[in-house]
Amino acid sequence: MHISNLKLWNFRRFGSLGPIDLLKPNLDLNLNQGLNVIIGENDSGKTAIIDALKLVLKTHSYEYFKVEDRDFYKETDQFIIEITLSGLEPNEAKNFTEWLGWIGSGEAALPFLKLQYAVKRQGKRIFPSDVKAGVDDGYQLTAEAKEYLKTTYLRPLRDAETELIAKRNSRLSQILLGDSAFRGKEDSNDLLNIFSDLKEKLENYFKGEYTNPMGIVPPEGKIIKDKIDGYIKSFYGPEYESSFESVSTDIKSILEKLTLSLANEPYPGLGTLNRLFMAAELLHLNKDNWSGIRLGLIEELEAHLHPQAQMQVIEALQNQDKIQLILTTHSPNLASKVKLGNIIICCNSYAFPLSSNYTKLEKFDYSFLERFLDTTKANLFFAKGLILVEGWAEEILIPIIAKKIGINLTEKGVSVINVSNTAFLRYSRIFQRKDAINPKIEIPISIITDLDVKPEKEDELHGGIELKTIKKSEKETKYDGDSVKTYVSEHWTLEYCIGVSSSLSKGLFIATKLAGVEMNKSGYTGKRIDVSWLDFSRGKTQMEIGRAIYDEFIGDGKKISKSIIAQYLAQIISNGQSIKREDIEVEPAIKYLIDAINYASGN
Amino acid sequence: MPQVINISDIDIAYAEGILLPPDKLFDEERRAFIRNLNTLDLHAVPGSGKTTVLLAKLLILERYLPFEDGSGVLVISHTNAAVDEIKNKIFKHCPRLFSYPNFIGTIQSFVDGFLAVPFFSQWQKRKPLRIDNEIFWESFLKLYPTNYRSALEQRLGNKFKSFIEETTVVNDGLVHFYTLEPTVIPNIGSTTQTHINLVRIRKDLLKKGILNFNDAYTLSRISISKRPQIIKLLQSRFRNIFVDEMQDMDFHQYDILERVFYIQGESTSNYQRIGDRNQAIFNGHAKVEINWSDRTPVLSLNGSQRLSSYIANVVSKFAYDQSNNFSIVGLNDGTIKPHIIKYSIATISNVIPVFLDKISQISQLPENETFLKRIKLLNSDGTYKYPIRVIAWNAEWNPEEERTDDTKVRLTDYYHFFSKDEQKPKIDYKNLESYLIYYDKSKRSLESIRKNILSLFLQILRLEGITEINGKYLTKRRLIDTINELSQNKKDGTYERFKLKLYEWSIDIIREKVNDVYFEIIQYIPEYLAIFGKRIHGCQKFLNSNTEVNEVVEAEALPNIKYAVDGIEVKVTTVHSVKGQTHSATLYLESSYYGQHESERLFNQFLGQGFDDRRVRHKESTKMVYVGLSRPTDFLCIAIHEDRFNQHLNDIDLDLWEIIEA
Repeated sequence: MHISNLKLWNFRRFGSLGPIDLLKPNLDLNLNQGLNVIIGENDSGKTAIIDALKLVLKTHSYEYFKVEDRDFYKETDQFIIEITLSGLEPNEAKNFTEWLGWIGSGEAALPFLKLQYAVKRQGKRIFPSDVKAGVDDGYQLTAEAKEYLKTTYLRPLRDAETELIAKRNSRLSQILLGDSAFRGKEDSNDLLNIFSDLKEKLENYFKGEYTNPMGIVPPEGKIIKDKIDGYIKSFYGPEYESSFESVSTDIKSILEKLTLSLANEPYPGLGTLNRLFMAAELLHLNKDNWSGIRLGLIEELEAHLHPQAQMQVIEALQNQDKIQLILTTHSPNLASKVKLGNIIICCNSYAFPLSSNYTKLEKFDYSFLERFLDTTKANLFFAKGLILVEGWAEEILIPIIAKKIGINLTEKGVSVINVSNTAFLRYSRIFQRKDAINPKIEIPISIITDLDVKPEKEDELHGGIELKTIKKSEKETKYDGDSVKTYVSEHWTLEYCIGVSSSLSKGLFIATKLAGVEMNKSGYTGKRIDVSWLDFSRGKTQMEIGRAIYDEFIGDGKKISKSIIAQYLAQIISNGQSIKREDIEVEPAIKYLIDAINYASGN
Repeated sequence: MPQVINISDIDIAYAEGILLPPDKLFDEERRAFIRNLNTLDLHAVPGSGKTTVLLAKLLILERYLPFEDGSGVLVISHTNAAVDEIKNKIFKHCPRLFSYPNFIGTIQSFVDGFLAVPFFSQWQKRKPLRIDNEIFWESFLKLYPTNYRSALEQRLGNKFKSFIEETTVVNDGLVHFYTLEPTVIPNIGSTTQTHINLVRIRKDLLKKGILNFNDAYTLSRISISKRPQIIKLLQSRFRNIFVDEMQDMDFHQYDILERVFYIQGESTSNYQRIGDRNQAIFNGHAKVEINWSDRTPVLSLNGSQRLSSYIANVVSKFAYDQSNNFSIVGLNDGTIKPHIIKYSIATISNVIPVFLDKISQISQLPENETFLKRIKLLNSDGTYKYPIRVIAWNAEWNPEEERTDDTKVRLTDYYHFFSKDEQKPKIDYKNLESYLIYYDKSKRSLESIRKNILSLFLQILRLEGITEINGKYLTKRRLIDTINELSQNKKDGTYERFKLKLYEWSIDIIREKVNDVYFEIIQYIPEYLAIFGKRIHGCQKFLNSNTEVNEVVEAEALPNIKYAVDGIEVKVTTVHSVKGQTHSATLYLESSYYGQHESERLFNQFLGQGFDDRRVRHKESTKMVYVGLSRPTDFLCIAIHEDRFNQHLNDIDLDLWEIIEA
């Protein structure tokens, strides 16, 4: 049994003004049977999803959730949460028979359980209501059935330490009580004997009747008791005496005396405690005598864990096959380890599962993309805008050019992702949706790619159309779609475009020269620039300058590293007073970069 | 001062948006009703969409909920089907209307819940066991064995059942259940054993809380006369009361509502009665005595969206109540004249096929394009929106009834395969398999199947005489709780196993494995009875009998006899079962009632005169015809024997009718 679908109407940020249309939920999210990792920036609705599930299903730890004003979208006066549970095994289904519907017919009919929670308000008054279950309009669940729907919830700033220590009603005791080791054996578990021995010895100690292993009867306990008895007798009368008792020996109070810690680790930090806590909760979710839902809701899994630990934990969780986990995270480390099919992106007031059923990325692309994801690239899922580029040079230069024209990409939350190879640019389709009805991912994504047509061939006619125009539109059709826009270089390559730009060509020349010098230090013996800018540029048109730098030092077969050139050029652009914003902005050859930056940063 | 609600055009537009097709609006007649929240009567002609205007009003009222004075809206209808219809249409738009303090239900459920049960509980300090005629009879017949009742049954004949249900006991005397006036059984004195035992047993059942439906009204009547405060309480609980299908209320139902919510105009509640007096038929009988007396203001809906002007004109002549310039305005623009099919005894079996051929033929004509569209239009659940039906008032001949000559006909003479036993879900059946077959198939959850299986297990307990310690029969809830308790004591997992089986049987019935389930249940019974420390004894016959089942299997094995037009199935049924329905085409088959057919009693109406007759059978006939003829949107057809036609209808207006031969 697992949650297969969640629908929300007017719950928190998932809403719309006007009357509720039951056919058009504001969020319609399918969930995986196993792991679901919800990622997205702050205030994107991750917690709203978790809270919606909690409100309907309630949790094992008897927390109390109250509907508040802020749960309603803007000034709307009703919200609805609808949950569908599927994959019920007979043993699970039996707890909900009277509320079950079915899909399919005849032999193939499969049960499902639909839960709906609709809450209304009028002004500040919120009207209490009950969760209804069933297919038509549904009716209330019994207390027994509700018990089988409870989830395990780990709050974001969890205080693992107080959850694990001995205290009344400790979480640890609740978890253990639910385990088959204790459940149904409340009267027969061996712990009872152990504790009743202890109780007897304790009580005997204070009566002066306890004999220690050395055969001695220590008198201290009796001495204390006698002192107290002296007062008691004077307060009450000679027939009164005190009695030391250790607390009762029922299994619950025994388990409340237990503390869980990590062996041989006397001073566990928060991170360790957190992992211990999660281990305990997993024990709970996996208990074998349970025919209810096995659902863990974990907010900010990464809390208190260092990056390697995060990855280790998420890999372990991915291997849990019997339980459904829905967790939120801000951690790119974590996201990089999760299979794409298990990721759900939250943005522009919607949530988008990334599995191959929903995106335009081909199924076989998934395994490649997963291998290719590392923490930097996992940034992809946390940005407000993206610029996908095919090489180091672009990755280095674009933030600098952006800054020069007054856009701080970091501030804007725009990530520049270097996919290292034009072939991988198609991965942008992970952001394109198959389904035409539901909302689209609105994160603006610019793809920057080279035209790859030599200048002399740009005007070549093919069927009456210039080669340049053909290539451009080929690339655009290949990548464009939803919020993905392709920006193709005006000419041949990035470096060539810079070279033919009058305000930047000198900078490129100097950067190439400096790169040659640096590479020479590490043994490079190929061709370097050994003339001055004045000599080099004398008598050349702008186009010729660009071509000359490119052909002689940068282009195919030339060994001066493009990324080192880009490093120096970046320094020159950001420090150089002579390169002015006004000039760059009107440079036709690099207009595509400016456009790409503007689009991704939402301008 | 109660809150004043002024229903605005915006409110009405909101309701139109939900209830009407995009291009339609409520007309002035309907708006006048929607805006008015005071006590009033609404008379609505067939097809005028009175339920829709009521729904509109409810949708709008819900926008003003909760009311400042904390009161609720009460909506009463006559049948569960009518209540479900309201629910299905508007529940999702106004779920609040279906919860406290509002109440939407049948008259029976209202009376049970707000009057009878509270009164019984005060009296006996516990709730009644069950208010249900079947359980009542089961217990009654067990306690009142044949030797006691034979004299009574002989005396009363086929009225025995209604006599028992309509009689109750006050101060050791037999009285009418509602008027509480003394009842005398002719020729059976109050000192006879028959009488004494009847009083004793009836009292016993009352005290035990095994009540029939009428008992609830007895308790209610006593409740409001002994504790009249309840009236004020109910009036403050419900400020707005709407009763739909008012014409179907029996006298006691009508009266109890008057006593609680009208009290000669003294009530603080607004009590609106909605219906069509001319359609007062129920349970297959036409109601003649009219309970429903007018009080002003009387609003009316005369415009029928359903009927074409041809059909409206014909139908209006059969209206029982022709007062106040009665008319029906047919707003549907159909142009097909009503047809009469003349038949003889030799051609009677052609009547239905001729009707169907005619449909195929007419619907192909270009001017009848909308008719064709209506025939094929589907609801979202795949059923036909405007089905084609063949209907008659009197279905079968009772074995004891003698047919004087063979020109007298009933439905079975037109159609031999007609069987009255529609698959109607009820609570208790006589054998096990029926429980597995006749569950409420309109529900899309396992609830109704599970309910039937639990009823089956309760029936087994009753047959085995297993009760609670205090002698009460278990309810479904108590059955589950009891098994749970016993299972917890023994720690043997019985409860979990029972739940699992309940689920598996339920889903397997959906998976069409009824036979497997049947055998599994039979196998499980010994284990089940063992939970209660019993063995199979009294329920043997129940488990094995399958007479009813055979009938069902046979009925199902005859699918080819069903009629169809262009693959669309045509049902043959009774007039009372199509009440409230809209058809695209209806064939009304005349039938013999007390020796005469509709064409004999009502020929003046066929000839164009308004109904004005005081004879009881004539009144009953005209009501039945009124309901039957007012179903179709486009094509109305009536079958009349040629002898009767020639005798009475030779002068029929051929501008209004088309006559064809079978």
